[in-house]
Amino acid sequence: MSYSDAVNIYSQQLSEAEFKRIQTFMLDSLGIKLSPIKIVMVNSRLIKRLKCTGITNFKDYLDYAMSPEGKKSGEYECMIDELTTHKTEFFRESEHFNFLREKILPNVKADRFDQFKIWSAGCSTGEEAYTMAMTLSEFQLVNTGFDYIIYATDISNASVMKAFRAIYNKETVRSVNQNLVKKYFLAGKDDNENKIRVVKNLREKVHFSILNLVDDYFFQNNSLDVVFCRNTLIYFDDQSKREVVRKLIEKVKPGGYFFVGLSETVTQYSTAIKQVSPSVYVKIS
Amino acid sequence: MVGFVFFNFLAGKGINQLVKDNDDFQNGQIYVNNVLQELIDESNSLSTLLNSIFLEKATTESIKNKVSGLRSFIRELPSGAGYSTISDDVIRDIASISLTLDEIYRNAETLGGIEKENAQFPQQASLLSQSIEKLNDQLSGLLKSQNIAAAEYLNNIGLLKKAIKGGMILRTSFIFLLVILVYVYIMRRLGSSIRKTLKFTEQLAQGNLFAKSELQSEDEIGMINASLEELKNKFKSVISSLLEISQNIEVASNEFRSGSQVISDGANDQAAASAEISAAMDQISSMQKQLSSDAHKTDDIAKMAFNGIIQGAESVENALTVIEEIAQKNSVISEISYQTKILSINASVEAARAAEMGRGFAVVAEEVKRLAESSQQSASEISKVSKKGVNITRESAIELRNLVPEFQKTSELVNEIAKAGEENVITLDQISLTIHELNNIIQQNASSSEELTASSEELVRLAESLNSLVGFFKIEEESNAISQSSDQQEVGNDVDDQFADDKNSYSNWGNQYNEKSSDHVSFSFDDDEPNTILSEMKSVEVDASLSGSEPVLEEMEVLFAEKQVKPSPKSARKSSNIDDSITKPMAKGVRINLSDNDNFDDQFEKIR
Repeated sequence: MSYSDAVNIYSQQLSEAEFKRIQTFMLDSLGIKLSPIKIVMVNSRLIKRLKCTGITNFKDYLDYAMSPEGKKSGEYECMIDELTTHKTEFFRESEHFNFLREKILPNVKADRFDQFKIWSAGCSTGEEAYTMAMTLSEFQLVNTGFDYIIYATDISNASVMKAFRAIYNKETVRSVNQNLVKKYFLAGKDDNENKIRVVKNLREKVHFSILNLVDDYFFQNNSLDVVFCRNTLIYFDDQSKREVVRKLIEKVKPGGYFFVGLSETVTQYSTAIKQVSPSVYVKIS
Repeated sequence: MVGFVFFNFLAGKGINQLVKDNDDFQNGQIYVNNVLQELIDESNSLSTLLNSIFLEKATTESIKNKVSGLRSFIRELPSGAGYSTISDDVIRDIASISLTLDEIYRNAETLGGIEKENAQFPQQASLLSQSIEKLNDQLSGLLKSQNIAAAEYLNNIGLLKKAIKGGMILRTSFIFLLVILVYVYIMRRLGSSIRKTLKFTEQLAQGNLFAKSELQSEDEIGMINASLEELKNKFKSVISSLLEISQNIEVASNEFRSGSQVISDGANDQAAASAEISAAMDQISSMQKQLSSDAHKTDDIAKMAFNGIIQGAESVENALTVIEEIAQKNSVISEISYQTKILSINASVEAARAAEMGRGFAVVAEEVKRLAESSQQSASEISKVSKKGVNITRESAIELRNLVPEFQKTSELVNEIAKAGEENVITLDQISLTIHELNNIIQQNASSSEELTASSEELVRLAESLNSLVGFFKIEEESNAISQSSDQQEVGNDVDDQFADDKNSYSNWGNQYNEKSSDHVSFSFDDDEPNTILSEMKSVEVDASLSGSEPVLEEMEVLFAEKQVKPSPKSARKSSNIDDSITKPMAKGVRINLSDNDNFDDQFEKIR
């Protein structure tokens, strides 16, 4: 691409009508609400896709990405990846993992024969799921009868794939307890010296898949011990949020736990849960 | 007044006592009657037994048993439920019956010891019969006296009732009047206090903390009002600070929201700008590469020119030797023409001697002389010119010689430029890389700030809801009508089971994955070498053969699109590229499990 082409693409401006089209699409197919102020963000993020595809204006790009060809080529997913947010980190909002370790796990019966099932709904690039894995694995070391399985889902193909590969920048574990890092991560060699990877044993504990939270879930009702859905609901409109919360809680066992982000509250969306700690809920039978 | 109440109290008590006595009497009556009836039945059965005594000897034994039964019945009477209601007279009568029973027992025993044929038997039998009759008489007498006592009692009660009745009507109406009077007094005294208290509490319940109790009194209700007032004031101060805080939170969270929006917008702009810089950097980098190669070419040209000059200098030096040689040869010509001139002079002299005969010869000699002089002149001119030529050539040779180091210097400089250019390219690449990293950080910041914005919106929502909750309480009278709590959203009770989860149950994961993944192969996002046309062409064939009737042309178009979509290969790297490993599209809702995943572990090692 020539310099002048690049300049041309970078000077493209998303029109109100095009933004409306994106807003409608996101709400209808993903249940995700884009407020009008997001136009700047959408603009700058989609420009990257324009550059990648070589399409020089937004209208043609949107036509292409939403067409059957766009779906087949993967551009549809690429567009969704750009329009959703993937912020996450290891031990983010660590109070929740303390709660899991100190309040939930000690009450798990030692003689239970089924696995402890936990779901990271909206896992982004997998940091949350692997943090769960580290917490549960540490518990397993001192409680040998205990076994667990982690499910992690996200709408974004690229995010889930990154999570599945479990390769991260060294920087991401800087604030994590170094004993855990030594135990559960590998260091990159040669060209990859600034990278780290989650060890195989831990990787295999996490089952990743792509899932839109407004679609149907593949879990059975009342089958999960714990569900994390943190800082994900904030992207849904009120109606979808209510529906998603209802469906998520449906999957939690009676007496099981439901976590949302520290700045979120969901009490008003369900009568089936009771708050036990800030942003932690327990399902009433 | 008090005396009257006391009297009434006593009268009431008397009536109560009467009614109680009456009840007791009736209960006792029923009990005694039951006991007597039982005894009479037994004694009748004794008489019946006596009649058969002459037939069976064993009958005396049964009489004895019966009597023992009756005695134990009487013995057990005091532990019976109704015994306490029996009057002392009746108890005395029952004691005498007990004695008669003993007599019957003794007689029956004696009779039992005598043979039927014995002469004493009839006498003894009549003794027994008499004692049984005595029992019967005693029992019926007792029953009769009981009935008489009852009739007497009832009669007395009737008289007493009549006597009381007259006074009662008067007293009852008096009491009724008194109650009304007391009620009116109490209602007048307390009603208004209670109404005022009620009004006050109702206002409080509606959240009107500006309400004031209208009651000022010293009694208990007044104290309740005072306590409520105190509670209200405490509540008011708490609520007003809460209101202030919640309003502050709302304002602050609004500011936070707009601030974070600014940050978010800034971050996005920054991201766009950095992407632009990145593109510009790429451009500069490629231009620098061009310049660098141009400098190399210039260096080559300079080297060629340098060689040319050295060759030129050599040629000039050669020319100088040639010119010097010419000059030398010229001096020979000059010598020859000088000698020719001498010879022509000699020839003129000889011609003069030959006089008339040599006149023609003299002309020839003259001409030869002139020629010799002319060639001498030309030779000296050539000599002059060649001298000049030698000088000029020598100077140009010197100048050319002087040029050589200059050229050498130029060549070195151009070489340095080329080297510097190469270094620039490396630096530019590093800058480019740094900008890419910077770009990532900026993207992360943009994401973070966006999330921050979302959180702040949630915070604003919470603050608003807190505000509206606290707003239920009115601190000042100016406030408008009481607003209902806006937060009473309908809770999703309608749990409909429209999602049949069974079809997607967890047990299906594996199967679904297998199906989808085999579908997925035909997408031709091949694992190994994605960017060669050849493999794409192959996959077109595969696709076409899989999809059967679909025309190849369409597939080609799709592939063309795919090719554009794929991120440009940054530089030739290893085939198992970590960065590219995440670009594969996956089927929805199935477990991701790719066999190549462990291969990447080769590029990692244990942390030391």
